[in-house]
Amino acid sequence: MSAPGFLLALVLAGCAWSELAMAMDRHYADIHGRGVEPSPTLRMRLRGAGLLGLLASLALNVHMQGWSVGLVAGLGVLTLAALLLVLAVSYWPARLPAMARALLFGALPLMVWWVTSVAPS
Amino acid sequence: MKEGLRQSMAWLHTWCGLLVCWVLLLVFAGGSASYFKEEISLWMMPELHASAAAPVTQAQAIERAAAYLQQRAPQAERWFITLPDQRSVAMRVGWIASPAAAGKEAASSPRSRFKSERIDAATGQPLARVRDTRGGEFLYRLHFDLHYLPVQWARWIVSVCALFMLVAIVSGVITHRRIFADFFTFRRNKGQRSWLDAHNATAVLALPFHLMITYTGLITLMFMIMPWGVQTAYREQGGEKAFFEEVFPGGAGRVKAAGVAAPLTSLPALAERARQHWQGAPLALVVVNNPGDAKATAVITRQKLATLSSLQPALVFDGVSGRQLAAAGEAPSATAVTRGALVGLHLAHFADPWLRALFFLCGLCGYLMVATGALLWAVKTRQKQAKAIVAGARAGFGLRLVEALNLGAIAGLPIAFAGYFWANRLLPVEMAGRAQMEIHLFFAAWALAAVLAQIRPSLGMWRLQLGAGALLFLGLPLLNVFTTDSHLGVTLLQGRGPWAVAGCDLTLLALGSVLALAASLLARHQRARHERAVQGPARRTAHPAVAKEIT
Repeated sequence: MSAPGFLLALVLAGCAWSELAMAMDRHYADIHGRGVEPSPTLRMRLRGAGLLGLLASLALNVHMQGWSVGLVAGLGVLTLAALLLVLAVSYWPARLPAMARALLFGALPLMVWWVTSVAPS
Repeated sequence: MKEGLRQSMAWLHTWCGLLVCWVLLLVFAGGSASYFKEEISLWMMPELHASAAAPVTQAQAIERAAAYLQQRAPQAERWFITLPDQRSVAMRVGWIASPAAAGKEAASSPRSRFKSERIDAATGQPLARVRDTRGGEFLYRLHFDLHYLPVQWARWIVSVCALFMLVAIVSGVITHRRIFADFFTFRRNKGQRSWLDAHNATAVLALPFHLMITYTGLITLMFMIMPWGVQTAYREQGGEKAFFEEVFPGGAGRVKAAGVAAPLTSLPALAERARQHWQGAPLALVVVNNPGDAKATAVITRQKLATLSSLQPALVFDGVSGRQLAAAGEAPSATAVTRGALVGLHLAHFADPWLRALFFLCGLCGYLMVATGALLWAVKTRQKQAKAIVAGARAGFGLRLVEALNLGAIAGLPIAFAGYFWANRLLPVEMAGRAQMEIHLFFAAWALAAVLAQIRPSLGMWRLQLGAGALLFLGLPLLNVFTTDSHLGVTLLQGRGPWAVAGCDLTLLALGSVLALAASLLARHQRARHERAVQGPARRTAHPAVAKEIT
């Protein structure tokens, strides 16, 4: 794992977990007020995006280190991202959408950094 | 079954966890530190920090080591040369003296005749000025051999605790009704509910790690707790011995000495051939059996590649003619690969620094999981006795014992670890029995914390011990400024490295900060409680509603 690869995988995982959290009643209500639930389409979309993000994070790790070590590293990254998200959801529940957006945009420069760091110079 | 499955599993989870939790805390703390065993050892030997940057080729290193061993222990039964790699700078040479040379003091066991020294790979001279310390090796051994106990007993204790833990994990998953619904849930400042949430989060989110580390830990001890599988499967080939030969190819090439002297062939030349055989892969270990004898053999082991497996292939050479006798572990059997991968997962030698850090964090998560679980039991039990305690009764014996043990283990262990590191820096470098004294001080610090906890298991004591741990951890990088030439100002600010030492200091600062945060949160909680008590019954009327929500 290189620094850009690790950070990119972590940001992707963080983004994915926050989407999955936003698809849940409890955390959705924390953002939008008591008793409000996400519409079924929104819930589906959030879940789909979250799943995609998790797979992307895992795929990046497998790409970097092969199936055996990559999967182990991928699970480690998912664990770390989920722990950080639990803290974020607990302390700043209302800022979750803003954070997810920031992570998503943050992934772009990281991706550029990662691609340029692996590209043969 | 009278009760439902969940209830009986909850019972199992509670008691399997509670009975062994304090040993598990030690195992998690020591095991987590072991991921950075080499780095901790380097940190604990400041004399090596300067030479960390001078690389020597492996052939040169082997030549110097062989020359040194030739002069130091020409009559030895076996020589071991551990080559420096990216993570450890010093070269270790060791030898098993022949029984005749060792004399009466160490008759039978080869282990008691084993001696080892650190030598400078560049000059081939022993590093006499390096302080005597067990370094990270002590913490690694601590997590399965404990200390002050015969190794076999200790391993039995740890095995049983690990078995209990596996049962606790599986039953915990079954009991936990809302794994997915509460996946990201942590409700703060809600008493018992908060402890349960914290226990769930640290357990569920790092579950792949917890399951893996417990199961593979048991695999590393499988010859003790479950020898029958191997004995049955390998009965035809000669029992456990055949299995060992398949799994540990490095032990190949052991033959009886002929008793006829013959000069040893050039080891660097053999190393060069081994390197070519493995397409230039770096070597890890050179073992010479019967050096200087006509029946000498040399076993050269390759460094591990970045795969899960802990298996390392080895080449066996005739020590006199230099002929290649065998290639062990080149095409390992399925059994060897399976065990290799499981043990490899536990040791994580394949991990680069990033992944190693993730393993370390997951290990700390395990520490927090056990800690929050133990605290949860105490909080729940105190809740049950609350009425009686308010009425003036004393807390039950079991509750008081658990509370005191929790305090002594959870807050006491950081003090013990910090005490070990402080001892490393403060004990005189030339002191006799220095390495052992560091270890005694580890246990002395822990014992002090544990005894104080038994005398007065109060919130104030929690604050005191967490605060003491925080100060000790935060003070270590500062202590380095006065006791070493490789403090953070040099390693980080001037960018001169070694990076491993800077990383250790930063980790100490981070751990110290977490302890300080815990102490300050506790202080706030105590203040709030005090204010409630002062304001009296007016506030207390709000309580039943809150209590209802909690339960």
